[in-house]
Amino acid sequence: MRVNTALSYILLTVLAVLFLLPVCVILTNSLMSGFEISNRFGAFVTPENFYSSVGAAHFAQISLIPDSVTLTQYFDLLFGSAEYIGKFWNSVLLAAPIVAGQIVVSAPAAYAFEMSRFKFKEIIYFIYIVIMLVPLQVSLVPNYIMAQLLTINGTRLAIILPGMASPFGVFLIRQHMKNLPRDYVEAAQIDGAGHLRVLILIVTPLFKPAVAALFMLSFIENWNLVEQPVIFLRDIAMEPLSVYLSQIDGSLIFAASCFYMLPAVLIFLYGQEYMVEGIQLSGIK
Amino acid sequence: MDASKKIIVKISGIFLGVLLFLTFFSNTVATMNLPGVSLEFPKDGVIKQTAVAQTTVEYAESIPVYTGQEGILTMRVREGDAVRQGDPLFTVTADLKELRERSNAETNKLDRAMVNIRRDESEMVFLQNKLDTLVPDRQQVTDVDPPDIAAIDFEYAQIEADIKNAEADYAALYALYEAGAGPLSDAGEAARELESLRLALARKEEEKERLLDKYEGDLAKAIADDVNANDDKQRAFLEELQNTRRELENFRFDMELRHIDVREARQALEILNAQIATGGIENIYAQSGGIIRDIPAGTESGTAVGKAQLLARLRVVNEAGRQTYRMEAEFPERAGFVQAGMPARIKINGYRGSQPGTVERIINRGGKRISVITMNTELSLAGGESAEAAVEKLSRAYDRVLPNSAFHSDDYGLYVHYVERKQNGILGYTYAVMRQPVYILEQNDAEAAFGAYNDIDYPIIVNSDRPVEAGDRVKIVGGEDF
Repeated sequence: MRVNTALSYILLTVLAVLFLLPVCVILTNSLMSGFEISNRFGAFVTPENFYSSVGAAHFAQISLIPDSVTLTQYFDLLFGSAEYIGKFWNSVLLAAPIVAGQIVVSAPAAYAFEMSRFKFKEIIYFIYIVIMLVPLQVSLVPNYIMAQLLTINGTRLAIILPGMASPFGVFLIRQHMKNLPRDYVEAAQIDGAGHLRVLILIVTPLFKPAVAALFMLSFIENWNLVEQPVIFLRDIAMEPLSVYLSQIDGSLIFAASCFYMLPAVLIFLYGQEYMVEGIQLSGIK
Repeated sequence: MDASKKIIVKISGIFLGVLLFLTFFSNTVATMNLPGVSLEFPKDGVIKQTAVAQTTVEYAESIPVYTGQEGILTMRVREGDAVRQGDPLFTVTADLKELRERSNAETNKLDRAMVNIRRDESEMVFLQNKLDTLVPDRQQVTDVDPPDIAAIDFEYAQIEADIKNAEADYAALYALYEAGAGPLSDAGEAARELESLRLALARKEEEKERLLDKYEGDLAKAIADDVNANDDKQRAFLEELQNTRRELENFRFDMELRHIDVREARQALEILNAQIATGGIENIYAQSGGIIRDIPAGTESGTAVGKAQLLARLRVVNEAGRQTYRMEAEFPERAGFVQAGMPARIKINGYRGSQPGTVERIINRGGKRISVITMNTELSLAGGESAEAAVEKLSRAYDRVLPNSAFHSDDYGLYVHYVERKQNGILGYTYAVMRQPVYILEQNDAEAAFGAYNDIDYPIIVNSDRPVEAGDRVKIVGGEDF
């Protein structure tokens, strides 16, 4: 047992290191100067030396410890250009409505699937699940056509509206609702409360963990949107930070990445127990 | 809320605060460090080219005033006096007694010349008769006919008579001019007529000689061919013929000289008689309105002057009281647009304002392009004043004109920088520099008209506090806005 435990710890440690290493590299390299980054990561590969023997020009020299610690990356990024902050808010303007919309749409839908009885309920739900399993790229073309028809192509609505209808949110909340005692609902209905009142006053306070989990997972997913902005948005002034990061100067990329992942990290840290509880509870039935 | 969550909330709050601060102030801070530029849209305009050169003013029109006779000078004007046409300028008083003596001497000289002429004419008649007598003798020897020179002689005499009349006309006209009563052009016409008559006379003489020479040549040939001719007798005959002709020619030549003497004597006599008729007083009048200048030093009343002595220069002033000056200016090489006929402005040192002038012509002197400018002005200048001449040329209208500071050049050619406005969402506008190749159509020191291969719909950077390149972000500090 001790061996198993030890092996488990070793494996977990290795995995943890593997997963945390990129984050650590980003954090530490964000404290390097632009010159140091160019020296470490600038590759001088040419057609002439590409097939030659291995040399330093072919590889980046990744280091966790900067030669000199400096905040010039952050300063240049945040004060040298106003574009980064603008793109940051573009990401917020995309992610926030989608997350809010998902919660607003998924909760009633899950309530309906769980609490109501109507014909073909399970079939429709099954379709929802199937849609959830379909890759995003499959739905891009139909979404584009719909956006063209609705003349919202080129606007943020072309991304927000399809994002709001998330089958995963319905699935997550419904799974959580399965654990809710029906007595509260029936008692409220006997007292004359309608479905909406029951949903808002009785049911919603009981599945906060599910909502929190949905919020975090949805935020992280939509904070990192890349394909939809590239396809649906034409004005580069509206592009989010996830797209802008590919165009940013290489000497600022680490600071940009740090700043970029900070909101997601903070939200996760704040609501991680809710997420665990939400995912846990959604699996119990 | 447990402690860890509180910390996370605090960190989130700080993050949000920083984010808001950066949102509202990072652009401001970033903008403060951006290069500041002034913008202008290309405008309609013309390119004014100005060429300036230093020059010296010279007087353009002046008439020299000469004496017509010797005598004692009386000055009626001084240096700088303004006169009108016909005003008396100077008076030369000759000694009347001396004039009469000279007149008598010239008369005697004329008489002697006439006597000599008559004597020579008699001799010439004798020789001509002898020559004519020789001709029939020659005809006995050969069949060669003598030329008919009677007609030529008649024409010759006619031309001589015409010459006499022309000489008289010329003398009279010249006397009128010297008295100020007639123009010089008439006397010149008479002189030309006289000259042409003398040429005609000479040609007639040549024609006669040619005929006689031909005749002698034919005669000699005929005699030589004649088998029955007596060689010695023929030779002697020919020799006598030639001697007679030669002698006749000498007389004719002497006659020419005597005729010249006669003409000169007659002219001098006429002048003297004219002076005697006026009591020996010659009044010199102004031929045109103007200002008296350049009186030689030592010229004053009571001094003795000779004939044809320069007394002064009359600088012509037209009826409006304006004088014409001339100056030469060498404009810079880049001012090749200066052409004859273009107006000019002349700023004379020491005088206010500027005077209008005209580029009269362009001359090439020693490989240099010199512009000759005339100026007609009321100013009374002494000549020699330094001045600055300026010539302007306006180009045709162009629809794209910008200050020269807008244009830059590098190895890839001439270009301008224009600014594109981009919006970065909630943080307002940003301005980026773009490059546009252009070419210059016309340019002066301040601005240029240009053309571009593409339309430029954005304002162009005409000034910046720092060098900028395509792609740079800038802030607008002056000039025109979008």
